[in-house]
Amino acid sequence: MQTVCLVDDNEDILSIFSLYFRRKGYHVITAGSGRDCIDMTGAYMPELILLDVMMEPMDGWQTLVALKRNPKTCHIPVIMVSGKKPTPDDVHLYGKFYEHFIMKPVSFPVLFEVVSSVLSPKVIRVR
Amino acid sequence: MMAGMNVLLIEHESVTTKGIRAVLSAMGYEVVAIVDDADNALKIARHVKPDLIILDISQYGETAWISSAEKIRGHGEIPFLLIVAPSWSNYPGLAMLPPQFDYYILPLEEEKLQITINMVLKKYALEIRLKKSEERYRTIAELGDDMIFIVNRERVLEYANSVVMMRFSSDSHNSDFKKPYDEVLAGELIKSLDNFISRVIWWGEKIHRQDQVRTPYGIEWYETLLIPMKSKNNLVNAVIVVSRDITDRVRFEEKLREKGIRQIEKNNEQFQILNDQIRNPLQVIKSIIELEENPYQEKVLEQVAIIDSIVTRLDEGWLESEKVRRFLIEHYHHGNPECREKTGLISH
Repeated sequence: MQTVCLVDDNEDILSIFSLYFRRKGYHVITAGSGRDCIDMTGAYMPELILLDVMMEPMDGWQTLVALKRNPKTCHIPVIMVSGKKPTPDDVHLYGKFYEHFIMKPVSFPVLFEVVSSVLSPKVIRVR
Repeated sequence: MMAGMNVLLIEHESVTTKGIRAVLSAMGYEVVAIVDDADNALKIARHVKPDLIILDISQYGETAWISSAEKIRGHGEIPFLLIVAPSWSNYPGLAMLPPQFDYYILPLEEEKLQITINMVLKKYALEIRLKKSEERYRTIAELGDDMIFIVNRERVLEYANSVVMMRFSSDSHNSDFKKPYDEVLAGELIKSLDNFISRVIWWGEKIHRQDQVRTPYGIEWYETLLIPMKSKNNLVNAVIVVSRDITDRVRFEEKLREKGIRQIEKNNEQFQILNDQIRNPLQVIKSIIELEENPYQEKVLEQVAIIDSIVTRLDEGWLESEKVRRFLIEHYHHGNPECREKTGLISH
């Protein structure tokens, strides 16, 4: 069973997303802040992180940077989720460190499709 | 003929003098005094205020009259005419005469003398108008804080107002120009204008420019207009340079821009927080409705989409502000350094 880490400072979103992903057969861990995410990820090593951007005191970008700096967690794919569009600066600085950027409010089918595409085994072409 | 004109005659008593007096009387002029030296003539002129002074030098040697004539002419207020002997027509005679002197060559002929006198009177009237004009323009040039100087075609300084002299001359009280302007004026601004003065002389077109220069007081900005002064045949005789210190204005504009950027950054921050706060509850509503089948699902999702589109329009307004902010930061180097660069894996 694959583990998904949901990171958001909004408890309602955390609980409703958790319910959905459990129904889809994932093991779910949740974190209400960037600091918690780093701690949980280090302990549980999820297969995927869904990371909210607008959090305080450590926002999603800072959390992403910390995850990617850590050799233990740098390989874990991250999908950024936010109610705010990324700025050109954000894309320039962080674009290559996340897999997707999803705008809230996102429908579950769309969310599931994106998550599945990230978690499905990659086809490696041998030349 | 100007009837009633008073004439002061300067000469030694002689036959010629009697002749001159007679002719002038016949022409309707009144000879109010006859004196034999320049100092007396000036004393009497101040008292009598003649309309014309005539100096008969027909009896003098070529150089003897010079100091007297220069004294009278230098006084400048009254039209002045020399009566010279016919021998002056021969070289070096008239060639020795400085250009500012008007003269009449004997013998006396009423009509010719009248024409000469009319010409002298006209010339003096023009000179007085010109002098008054010059005084008026000098007064105007001294009125404001602008720097004004005039450089002729040979790069000689013709005029500089006191503001120029104070800022760019080592001897601000010296108003004796007529030297190459770069010998009188110095400084980075003068050096930077040198090329453009040449261009105006060469091309005959005015130039408007702004310069940033380093001075002993720091960085200063000047806005300068270089205007060609042309002769009738369109040749540039001189360049008028008018320059204004705009340092305060530039600094004020920079502060305004910086303030504008800070306000945009503040607005942006508020936008970001607000939009995220609106979208979070939308996400919860959407998610709850999608989790379970519901007869109102379509309607609710429709309303969520409407609210989301409104927030998207706010986002677009914010992105436009962000574009303005980035433009201002890029071109004017303002903005909160923390907003300009974020710490991360990428370093600049």
